[in-house]
Amino acid sequence: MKKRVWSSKVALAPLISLFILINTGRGFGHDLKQNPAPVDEGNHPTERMLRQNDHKGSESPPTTADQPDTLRQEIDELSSRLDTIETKSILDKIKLSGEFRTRLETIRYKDHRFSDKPADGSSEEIWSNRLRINLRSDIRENIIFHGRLSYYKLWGEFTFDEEPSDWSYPSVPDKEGSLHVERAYIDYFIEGTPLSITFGRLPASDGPPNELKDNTTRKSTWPVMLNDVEADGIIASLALDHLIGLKKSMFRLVYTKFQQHYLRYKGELLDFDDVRGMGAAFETEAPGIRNSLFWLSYVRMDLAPLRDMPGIVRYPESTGYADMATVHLQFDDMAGSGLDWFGAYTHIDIALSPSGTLFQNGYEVSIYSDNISGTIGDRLQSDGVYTGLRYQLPLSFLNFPRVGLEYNYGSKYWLGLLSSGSGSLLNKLATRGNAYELYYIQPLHRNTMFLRAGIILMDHDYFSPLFGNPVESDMKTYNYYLLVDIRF
Amino acid sequence: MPPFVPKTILRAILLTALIWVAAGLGAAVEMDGEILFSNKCGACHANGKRAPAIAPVKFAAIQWERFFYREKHQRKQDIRKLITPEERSTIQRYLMEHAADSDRPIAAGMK
Repeated sequence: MKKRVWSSKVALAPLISLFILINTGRGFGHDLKQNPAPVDEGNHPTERMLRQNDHKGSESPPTTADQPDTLRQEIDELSSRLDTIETKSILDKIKLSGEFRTRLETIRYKDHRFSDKPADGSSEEIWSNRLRINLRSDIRENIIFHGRLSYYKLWGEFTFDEEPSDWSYPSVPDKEGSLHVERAYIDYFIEGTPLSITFGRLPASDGPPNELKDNTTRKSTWPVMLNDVEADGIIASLALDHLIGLKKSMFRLVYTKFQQHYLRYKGELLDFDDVRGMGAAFETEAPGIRNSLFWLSYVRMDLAPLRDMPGIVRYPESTGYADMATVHLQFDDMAGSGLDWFGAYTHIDIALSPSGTLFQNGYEVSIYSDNISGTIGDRLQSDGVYTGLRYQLPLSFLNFPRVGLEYNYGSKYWLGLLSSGSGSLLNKLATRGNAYELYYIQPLHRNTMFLRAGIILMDHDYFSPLFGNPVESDMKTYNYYLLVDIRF
Repeated sequence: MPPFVPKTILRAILLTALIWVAAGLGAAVEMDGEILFSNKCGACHANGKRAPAIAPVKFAAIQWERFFYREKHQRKQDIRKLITPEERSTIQRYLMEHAADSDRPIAAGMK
């Protein structure tokens, strides 16, 4: 009987040792080697068992006489391997993840104003690739670095009449196919306080509700109806959960800079004001409703003058400013039904400077105004609405596909310049008129590979450049697309 | 003045309120994994309590799946009287959906 108990202990010893080794993680094997029969730590079950084995070894030898030594050797070896893994883990400072997208689309225009006379046109087969490499480094528990490098290019060589600007790389294909720093910022959580400071190239584009269409989770700070461009700046965030009792509530102050002078030449043509954005925002989970977002913000943004065209005689230091008030409400997976819904509204009050950019031919132009219509210096009001829903079909054999429907409206003076990050060639949120989108998401591999097919219709009431008096339009744009998203 | 003001805005506000109420009513009857995890697991697993604090990001999704499949908690502590099988499934789903390798939300000031 005694011998059977002893044997069962010997049999269990390696298993228990391995379990403890895995749970303690490091060092155990070395300690054991240096001190085979520790006295102070003698209460550890595995050590106790090993010690019992040593004592009993002289009284009643085990079937395999050298088993404890073999066990120690195995523990030493495992410990050594764990040390190697731990070292690698410690040195692995940056976590990488990626997103890759290939997109095929057809764009058709009806009554497009490419020239003075409206005409139809199309681009029947446009292929593009988009790559995003996401980086994260937990420098300390309260200091976190985030980065995103992105690449967006049409296949092969291509003609495209828009050059990407500093803030529009995610949506304007780059002819050279270069890797661009879309995000690089630090989240600094001040210890012992609910305050954090975020600075650098901010998580500014691709915000709610884009994650619904992209079949992912929230990827940015503010809703796309407020701002969907890249931005450099500082955000101070105050977590309010414990102060006001609203779950996931936060108050933010934002300061961004879109254009700044290295050197000003007073009185010369290069003299213009820096372009800043400043604002305050409050967000919270809607009371009593999980997976929801309620957002309220006010932002003032400077407006830059038109200055990069031939024939310009002079331009003002500033074109004015825009005050933007945004409310966004979103419910994800309402009551576990698989239905998501969002609604957003933005009002913009545009205060224009009394003078615009003057050309050699005497034409003076400003945002949505010119000297022919006599609207330069006016105060312009604009409104935008964006709403939609997405539903997860209860079809397990198709891996739960999703369908979505979106609608947005932009008024005559709607400023679509703040929208671009969705990775689409066409910016439907800039439509001054009505736009609709219907899409279907087919998961190919859960959380890894998705296929999306969709159609977008943009029914324009006005179609004209940002600078100049808005021109009424009957133009319609149809965009059919098919894309594959892979995350890794 | 845009063409939909003010009647359309009023309708939109009413619709939003209805959706809000519907979402709220539905949320009340649905089991919330986060709350279950906080209440049930957090009863023991918290700083200063009998077991160390845990968070979904402690493991990757596949590790959580293995943890539950192999009933690893049972080896240390039998909690079957404390958590029903439905609650266990909800907690497992919550942990896997918020695991270390899950798609985590990103915004300024969010960990």
